[in-house]
Amino acid sequence: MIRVWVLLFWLAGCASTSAPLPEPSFDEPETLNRASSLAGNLAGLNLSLTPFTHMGGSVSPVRAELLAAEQRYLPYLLKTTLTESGFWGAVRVTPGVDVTAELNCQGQLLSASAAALQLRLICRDALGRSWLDDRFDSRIARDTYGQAAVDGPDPYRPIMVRIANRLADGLTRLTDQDRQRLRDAALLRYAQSLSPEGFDGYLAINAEGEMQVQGLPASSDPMIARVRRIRDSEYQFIDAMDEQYRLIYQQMNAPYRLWRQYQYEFEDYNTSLGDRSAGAQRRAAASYEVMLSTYRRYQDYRRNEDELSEMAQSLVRALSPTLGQVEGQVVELTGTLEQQYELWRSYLLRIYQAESSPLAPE
Amino acid sequence: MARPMSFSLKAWLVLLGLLPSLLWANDASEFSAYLGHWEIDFSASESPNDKLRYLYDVTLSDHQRRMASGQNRIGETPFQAINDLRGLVNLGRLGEQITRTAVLNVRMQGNTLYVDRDDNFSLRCEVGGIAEEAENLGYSRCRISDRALVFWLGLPGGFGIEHRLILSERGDRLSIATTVAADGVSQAFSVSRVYQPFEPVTEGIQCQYTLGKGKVCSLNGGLND
Repeated sequence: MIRVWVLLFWLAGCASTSAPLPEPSFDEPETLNRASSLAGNLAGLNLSLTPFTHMGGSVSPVRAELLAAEQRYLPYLLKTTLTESGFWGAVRVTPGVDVTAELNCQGQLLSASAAALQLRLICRDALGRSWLDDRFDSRIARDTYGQAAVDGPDPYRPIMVRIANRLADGLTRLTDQDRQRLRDAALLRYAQSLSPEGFDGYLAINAEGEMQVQGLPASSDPMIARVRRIRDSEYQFIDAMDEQYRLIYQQMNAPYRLWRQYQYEFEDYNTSLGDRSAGAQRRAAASYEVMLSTYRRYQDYRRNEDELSEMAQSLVRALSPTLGQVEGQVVELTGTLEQQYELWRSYLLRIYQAESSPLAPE
Repeated sequence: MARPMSFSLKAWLVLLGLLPSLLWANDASEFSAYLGHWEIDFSASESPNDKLRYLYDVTLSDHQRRMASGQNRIGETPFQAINDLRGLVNLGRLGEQITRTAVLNVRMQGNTLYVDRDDNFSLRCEVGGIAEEAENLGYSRCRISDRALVFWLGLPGGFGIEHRLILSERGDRLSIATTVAADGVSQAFSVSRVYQPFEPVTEGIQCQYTLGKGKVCSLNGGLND
């Protein structure tokens, strides 16, 4: 019997001295790989990102509004990181898949909170090859928000650096010939989007299921010259769209950072309150300074949330009209960013078809 | 001796008890009369400082009377009475801070009713949805009760704030009764502010985005290229 008690005490001792649960691990900040001058002519491939989709479960209407803003903010944050890396030509955020770009990336926002971010990113090049189809998880340390200034690096930046480094790895593996093939493929795909019949046969899918460039139109071909001219107008337009996303990003930057910071502080605060006795809580309540300070923090949190919510609501409202000029014609676009992009694409198609018709003046 | 319940726990129990009699915010048409812009009507509003002074005097004289006549409640001491008065003053000071709103805009966005306040965060209520919203800090809820639209906010540290919006019979005045209550303070502090409708001036600015020029805005729609 004594042996049983000794064994029990020994086991109890083991339980009490066992190692504490491991602390959640936070991201080791990765250094952003930058294109060096010795890396050759790596630049020149354009990369476009679309607003992230959200694949989470049901959320409250207010959280849904904020998600709409986050879905536009996060791709722009990735864009700034990719641009900073110096590996890419133009990096743009566009309302839909950009048919002009050599590489298109589409993200899914799996979850976002002050403490963690989960993304899935799928990138495909103009030949339809997959560059990336992966999930990225990031845990953000509590002091990240306190240390960084509001206009400093975003606490979500480490996950963007990881993605940027992965894409840079893929790019540096390409030869000059590979890159030229991608540029050709992007041009041909754009041409096919304007005139599927006119550019049929230049791109084909081989036995392995990979897209290949079969040939190129002659450089003197007036059809491809027209495609290039229209593509230049398209570049101008998607740059204007990208500018709209930049404005959203800039406006969101401070309130979104503060909103996440307060989320973290409140979690701390609630935890510490849970640890205190009821008497201590009552004393806290009776103190004007404590009540006012709690209210002020809550007020700041909600005001930032209001600002983000207002911003998100404006994203689905019609923008002021955009006037564009293409091939001497002025077009007026109305509606949301996404609607304006659709309209612009349909205008370009009509302009190309009108020019290509036998009755069109040369 | 029984351990005193925290304020939030008591509030939960009271609310749970009242649950069957509460009508949750469930119909957008019920809110239509509240919508629009409202500005404060000082002549009809209570002054938080005056209200606090009045409550302080009444509570102090009540304590003094009970102490003098030996009718003090079980366990009540002069020290507790002073603490109670101090708590009331603190609630009043906080009440004064959070009822300075001069202009309101009550609007519906989708299924959400927003009460935008010029100096404070918006109060919001999901119509026909979740009336209660768990937040990182405390929790908030809204409901319709006796023709009043009620917003309740519970904050850590055991204090809560209620805003009760009541529309006058003719719909030309909106009263907001704000109540602040806390653990360890025997009475809550309430103050009522009254608002009247107004029409905001529209600026009439129209903008266009031109690929060549960027954003171009003009007053009253007079855009000239």
